[in-house]
Amino acid sequence: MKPPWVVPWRFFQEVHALKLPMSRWGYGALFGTSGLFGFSLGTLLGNAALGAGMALFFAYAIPGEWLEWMRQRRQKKMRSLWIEAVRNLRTSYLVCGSLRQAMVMSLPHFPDEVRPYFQHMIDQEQAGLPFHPVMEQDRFLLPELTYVLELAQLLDRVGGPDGEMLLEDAIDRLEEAGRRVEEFEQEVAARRTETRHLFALFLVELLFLRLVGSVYFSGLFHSATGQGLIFLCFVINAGCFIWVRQRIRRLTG
Amino acid sequence: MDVLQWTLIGLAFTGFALLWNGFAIMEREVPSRDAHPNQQVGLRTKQQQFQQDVQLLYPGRTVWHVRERQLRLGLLAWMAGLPLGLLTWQPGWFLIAFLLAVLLYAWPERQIRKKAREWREAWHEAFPLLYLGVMQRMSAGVSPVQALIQSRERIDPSIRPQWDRFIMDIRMSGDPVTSWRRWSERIGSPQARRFAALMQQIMTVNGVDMERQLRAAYQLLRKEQQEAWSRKVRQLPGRLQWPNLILFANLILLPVIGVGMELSQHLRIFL
Repeated sequence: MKPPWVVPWRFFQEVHALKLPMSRWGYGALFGTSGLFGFSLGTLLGNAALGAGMALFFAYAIPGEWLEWMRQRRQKKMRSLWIEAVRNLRTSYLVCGSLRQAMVMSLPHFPDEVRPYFQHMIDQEQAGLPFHPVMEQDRFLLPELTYVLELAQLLDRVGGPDGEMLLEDAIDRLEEAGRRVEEFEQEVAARRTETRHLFALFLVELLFLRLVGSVYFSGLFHSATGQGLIFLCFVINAGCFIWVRQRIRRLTG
Repeated sequence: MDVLQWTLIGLAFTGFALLWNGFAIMEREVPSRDAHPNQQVGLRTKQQQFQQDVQLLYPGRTVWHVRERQLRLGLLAWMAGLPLGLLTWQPGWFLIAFLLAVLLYAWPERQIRKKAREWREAWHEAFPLLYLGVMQRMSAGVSPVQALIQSRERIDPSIRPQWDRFIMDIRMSGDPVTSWRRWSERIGSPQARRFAALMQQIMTVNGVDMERQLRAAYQLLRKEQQEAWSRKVRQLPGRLQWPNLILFANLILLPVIGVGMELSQHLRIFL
């Protein structure tokens, strides 16, 4: 594992899970551009200290928001593919009564994105290795897959007449996760957009006041107290933005 | 304000902290379940919940032990800052010492709550798989104790030692009723109590339709988990209202304060 002070490990982990073609240089460019944007804006609005604060914040927020957007898109697609794959597996299991046999039978019918995982498991089984699904990337993307794979392992080890029920349960879990995301979007999306807009509006307002250069606001931009006030307001706003983000993340993660 | 006033304020805060602790901890012994009937239905006060957290992490200990430690840390920070304030006559030292004392006071409680929440969440995640694992193994002819032992791998590694201790307890004591009761009281969640009651029944009473009961309990658990999640989601917009309100206030107040600053400069010329 990479030390967290060298690269933001979680970001790379997510990029890897989403299968995005982004190297460290790519991340460096994104991080640098976002930071530079923040620094320019901060120096324009206040001083170098505000610039440094904004650089740090934007270098955190812009790549994070972009990744979140990509994650939502990918999650939706992968979830529907996994549901389809597990449904196929259940049909085959009903016919042959063994999970490994069912995997071999359904392999040609699996969606392309999911097939390599099952192929890997079949290869492992043929090589005499223990049944251990390696899907760390998709587990990270779809946390409910951990549960589905636990069920698959249980089914493989114990078998039993209720195997079909376990696969039904796995499908149910995946579908439920999709429903949850929809419900979550309905309830929380408005508030999240509100946060983003209010944060952006604050910066636009400051930029407008700065560019207009009205004498009424010269105290705000040309005195140490005014600069301090802007810095304080920015720190409070950034704190609120990060708090909202983390709160939502904790529930959806 | 001079140093004497700051010292008095500091001492008042210290006294308040001591009084609050004195009133908050009414009992030094571990409270019995009957002492707090609200605990049964999940309506617990913050204090009772913390007691439960302490019990989960450090069996046999009470909130009093933690509060004692918290107070010791807080007072230590305060006593370290106090001489600096008195020697330099700078009110800032008192403020720093006070803030440090508050931080050190709050730290152990925060850590305990965090760790207990993580453990509870891990158990929350483990229960459906435990139900399914036990159900599947028992329908394949495995004994209940063996089914429990084999379900070990379905449990999160962070709570595995707890599970191992429990399995050892159940095998050594020979009294499943007491072992299950001890375990469920320690976890302290309704799901744990239900699982314990069901498994205890399966292990002690013959002729029970185990599979049907386990399946029904599993369905109930799933339904509960779904409802809990929906409730959390419904509550979230209300919680996110506050940061948005602060963002809005900043948006309005900053220009107003800016104009106010400038006007006050002009007014000062006339006054």
